[in-house]
Amino acid sequence: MSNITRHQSNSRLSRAVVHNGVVYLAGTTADNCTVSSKGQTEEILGKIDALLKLAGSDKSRLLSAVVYVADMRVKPGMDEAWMKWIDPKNPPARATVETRLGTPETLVEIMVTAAVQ
Amino acid sequence: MSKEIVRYDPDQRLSDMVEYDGRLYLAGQVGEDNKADAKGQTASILRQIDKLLARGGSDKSKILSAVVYVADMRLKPKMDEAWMEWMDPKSSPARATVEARLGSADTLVEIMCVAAK
Repeated sequence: MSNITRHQSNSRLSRAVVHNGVVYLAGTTADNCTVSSKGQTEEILGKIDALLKLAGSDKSRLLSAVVYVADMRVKPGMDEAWMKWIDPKNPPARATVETRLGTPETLVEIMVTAAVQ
Repeated sequence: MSKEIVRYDPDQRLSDMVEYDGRLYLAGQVGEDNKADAKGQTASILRQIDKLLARGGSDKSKILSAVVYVADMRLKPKMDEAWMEWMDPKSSPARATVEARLGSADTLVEIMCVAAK
């Protein structure tokens, strides 16, 4: 059996869980929700970079992503930040759907899986 | 030893499918004809999933998990009709169905799944 490694765990959840060569990240939101969906997405992607690094991976090894937006009208702003960030040769399988998120000001939440080096 | 990641139809935003370590991660699939009802859109999605899985050397009997997004829970019976006609009854995946607003107002169903090869 392969091990399960948990990063940044608390009593509720872990920010990253590694098993069998795959890292599963928790849904990540921005700390500063006073900014636009583009700004929130930029902060989220920075946090994802750090978590992937902690797990021994990086954005070029993303497998899948689910993007939750509070309103489909903020998707273009999210996509702007996303396309600037993504490794153009290595985009993950992705879906974007609209749902209510943790607080009314939270516009974007992203959950990804990636292969670990 | 680093296992290879294979990306199918990557564009600047996402890949339609990503293969890694014996598993296929599919992007959220939507129907080709948004004028069709939920059953028609689902049937179209499932045909696309069949094609993608075949390209990856898999088939619907090897789907591990699926998340179905419906634009309105009242559409779920119609989605399920197409799903049950399609699904291999001996090898149904772990599945969740939730309501979310999707890419355009007439997109009624989106399905994201992971399969073994």
